[in-house]
Amino acid sequence: MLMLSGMAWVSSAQRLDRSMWMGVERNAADLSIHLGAVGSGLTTSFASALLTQDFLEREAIQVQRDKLRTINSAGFDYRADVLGVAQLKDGWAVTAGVTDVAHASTEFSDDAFRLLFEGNAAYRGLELDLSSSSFQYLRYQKFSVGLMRNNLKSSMGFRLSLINGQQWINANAERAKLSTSDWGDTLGLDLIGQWQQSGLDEGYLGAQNGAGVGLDLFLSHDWVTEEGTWRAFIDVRDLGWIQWFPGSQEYQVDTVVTFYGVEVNDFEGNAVGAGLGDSLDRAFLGWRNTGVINTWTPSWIQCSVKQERDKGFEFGLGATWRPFTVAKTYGWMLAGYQFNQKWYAGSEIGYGGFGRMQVAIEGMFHTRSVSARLRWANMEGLIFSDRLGGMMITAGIQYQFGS
Amino acid sequence: MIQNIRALILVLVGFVSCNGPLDIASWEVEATSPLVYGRMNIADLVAVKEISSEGGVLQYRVQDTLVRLGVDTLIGIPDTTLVSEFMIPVGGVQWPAGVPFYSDTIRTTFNLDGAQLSFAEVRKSLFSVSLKNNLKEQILVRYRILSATQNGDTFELEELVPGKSTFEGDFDLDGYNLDFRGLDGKRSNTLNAYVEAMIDPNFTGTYTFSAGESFEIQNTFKEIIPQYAQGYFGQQLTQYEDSVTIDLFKSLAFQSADILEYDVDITIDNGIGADLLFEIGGVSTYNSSSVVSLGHPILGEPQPIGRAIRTPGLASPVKHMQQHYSFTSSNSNLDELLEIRPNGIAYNMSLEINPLGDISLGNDFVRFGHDISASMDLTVPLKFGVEGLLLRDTFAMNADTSDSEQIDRILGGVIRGKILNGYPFEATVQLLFLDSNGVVTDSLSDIRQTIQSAEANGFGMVINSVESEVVFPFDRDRVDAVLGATQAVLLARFDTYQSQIVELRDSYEIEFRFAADLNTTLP
Repeated sequence: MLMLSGMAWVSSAQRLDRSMWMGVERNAADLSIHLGAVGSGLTTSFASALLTQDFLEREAIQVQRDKLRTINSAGFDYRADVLGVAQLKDGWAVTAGVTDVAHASTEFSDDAFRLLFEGNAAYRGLELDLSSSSFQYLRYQKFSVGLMRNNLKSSMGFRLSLINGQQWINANAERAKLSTSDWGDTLGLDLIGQWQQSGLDEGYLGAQNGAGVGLDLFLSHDWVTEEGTWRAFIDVRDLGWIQWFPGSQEYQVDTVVTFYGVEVNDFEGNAVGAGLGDSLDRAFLGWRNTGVINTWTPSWIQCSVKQERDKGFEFGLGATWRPFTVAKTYGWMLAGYQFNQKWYAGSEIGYGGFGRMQVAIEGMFHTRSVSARLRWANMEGLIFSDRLGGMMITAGIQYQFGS
Repeated sequence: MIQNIRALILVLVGFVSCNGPLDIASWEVEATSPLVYGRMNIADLVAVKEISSEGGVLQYRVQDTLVRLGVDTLIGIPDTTLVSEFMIPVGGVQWPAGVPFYSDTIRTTFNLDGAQLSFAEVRKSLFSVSLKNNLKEQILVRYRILSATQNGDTFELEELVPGKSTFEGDFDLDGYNLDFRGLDGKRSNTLNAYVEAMIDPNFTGTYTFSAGESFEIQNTFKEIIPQYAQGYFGQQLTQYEDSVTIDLFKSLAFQSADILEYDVDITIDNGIGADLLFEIGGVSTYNSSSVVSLGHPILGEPQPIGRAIRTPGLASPVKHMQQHYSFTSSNSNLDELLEIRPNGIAYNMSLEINPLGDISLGNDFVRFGHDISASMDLTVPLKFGVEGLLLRDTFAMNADTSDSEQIDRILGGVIRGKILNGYPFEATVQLLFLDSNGVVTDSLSDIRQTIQSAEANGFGMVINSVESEVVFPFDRDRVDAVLGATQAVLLARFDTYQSQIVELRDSYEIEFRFAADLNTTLP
């Protein structure tokens, strides 16, 4: 019997959620969506104003500026997922799915914020340190097939993916210092940095600027005790490699520039700015490489332990690493209550990732045919939006059918 | 909180619909950037090549040759052609080979417009010969210019001309001495040549002429330029009337000026061996509306100038005779001529050669490169008191205004300038912007900004430069006019304190730096 199933892959901005398909014993079809952003230093109010208002008042910028640390980070993840599971026999099952993924993360200094949102006029006579700043944006779609095996105590599986690279931008400044003289007649830039971007054909979903392969792995094992079942969980997700097609651009810059303006000692037919433009054109040509660029995708590696009970309190903890991102290790503890076989509600407190202390709540509904999950993470960013930053929501629904 | 949730929904919808970047808020930033820097001095702004430095003081100096008479002008030898023809009127005449059937002396006399040359050394020349043989048999032609010798040898040409054909050849007499006195030594301007023609001596037997057979010779002297010439050059009177352009005041406009020092030297240089009589009829300066005439004792008075002297054996074979006439503040009113900001100097003069006739008895001489010339040397030290001296300089502008959205983001700003003035007078500056038709579209400041004078000592010499700051604020309304301009004009007005006399030295300069504070919105 051919059976079609779906399930959800969801994650928070900081960690992966447990995938509902792991251990599922029936065919299933699943639709889920996840969106979240977390920042250390950036407040939700500021991000919200940036996204919803026409004009940012100077006061809002100053309030945000005063809350920044020397180095700040922010991360954003988006995922829309459609996936199916078809059971075979003896606990084996195959999976197939399509996933749309976006990731953006940045690390920036408070001086970089000042320069971007205030300009350098207010910092004449000072040096703005933009070092250790980075920005990465990646959008891709992956088409996966996988195999898994379930038994009473453990399950494991993997998925192989073909990746379509839609767009990629990567910028980092290992050292970047901008000084403006007291009177504003000299600008000094000390820069060691890199800019990489995929081809320009990125204006639509599915634009083909690169191709690659991906791998996902999971392993879980249950231990039954008097207090219930303890489930250990290892999840490796979004390991991948993308080769960006020719037309991609890369600039490697290592320069110290002091700009005094355009020299106009020759007063005959001087075209102001012409010399500077020519110099910059030559400089950019020297810094520029074009061709094929290879990159690793931002990934997840997560280990967790969680108690599973038919009714009563449940506890768990875990840690998440994000290879190829600027996120720090995220550790968390959770506590929840299983009201009955249908309803579960839980809460979580964690620290790290792109932010600092974070809080989340979630609820799950589960019957023989339907499973649904709603998770609201980074509550602190919404409740204390003037002081903290972050919002994340995950929603998923799964329909199981067959025998 | 509702706003924050709305933001989350916006991002979510944006990603699910996958239609490009999110529309985010804009904000205002104030950026500072250097614009231009440099140094300039008055000479840069005036941009006249005649500005130079003498003893550290800038001066305007014009040197021009008003008149020049060289050997080619004095005794220009015209192109002259002579044709001689021999024809047998009756047939049947038998003539032995090798015996001339034609011989003649050809005399060429040049018309030299009153000059009577007796001798010349040829520097450059072209001599053309055409030998037309209308006989049936080849002939031999011998052609000798008896008046042209070189190291004792006469110029000689021997050519075989086949029957029924013409020989044409060009030769030169460069380096030959030409004796223009003729065979009897009593003539002038005359060259003699001897021609003989015979049947080719290698022809066996005798040649029988037919009726009408002929032989023709045509010789042409052209482009004869003497290295040295001697004789009597005639009594020549030449009038000259011309003008010299003065560019200085085109870019150096002022309301009034007090010019104290100037110097004009007119030099007559006689490099020929003939007496001269030179007369300056008048000198005046002019601009578009007025003319001022020069007053000086020599005007209208003929000035005799002696002849040059041959100095054989010396490095220069000719000693010139020179006469200088100096126009200074003590003997002329030249300052009045300059204070009208003239566009040029007009003059008329006359030059007469041999005013007393042939008193050298035919021994006038001229050597190539030793001419008669009249030259003017005008020197005006830039040492003056001035009011309302206006200097303007135009810069091309090429701002890219194609991205109107980007232009619209500019809300205004301030262009600030630091001017370190090394000149001993204060100035006011204004920046004007012009469209492609040269029409002023805007000025960054309706009021001229003042630049302080440098600090000077009791002698008017600068001891310290003084820094001033100028500020040109501009608002949104002026951005389009400024960025749409194709030219920017820096207009500077200088005034010396109470028209005090100051001198401009080459060490004086203005050092400037401009920066802009730009108020703009992002992104």
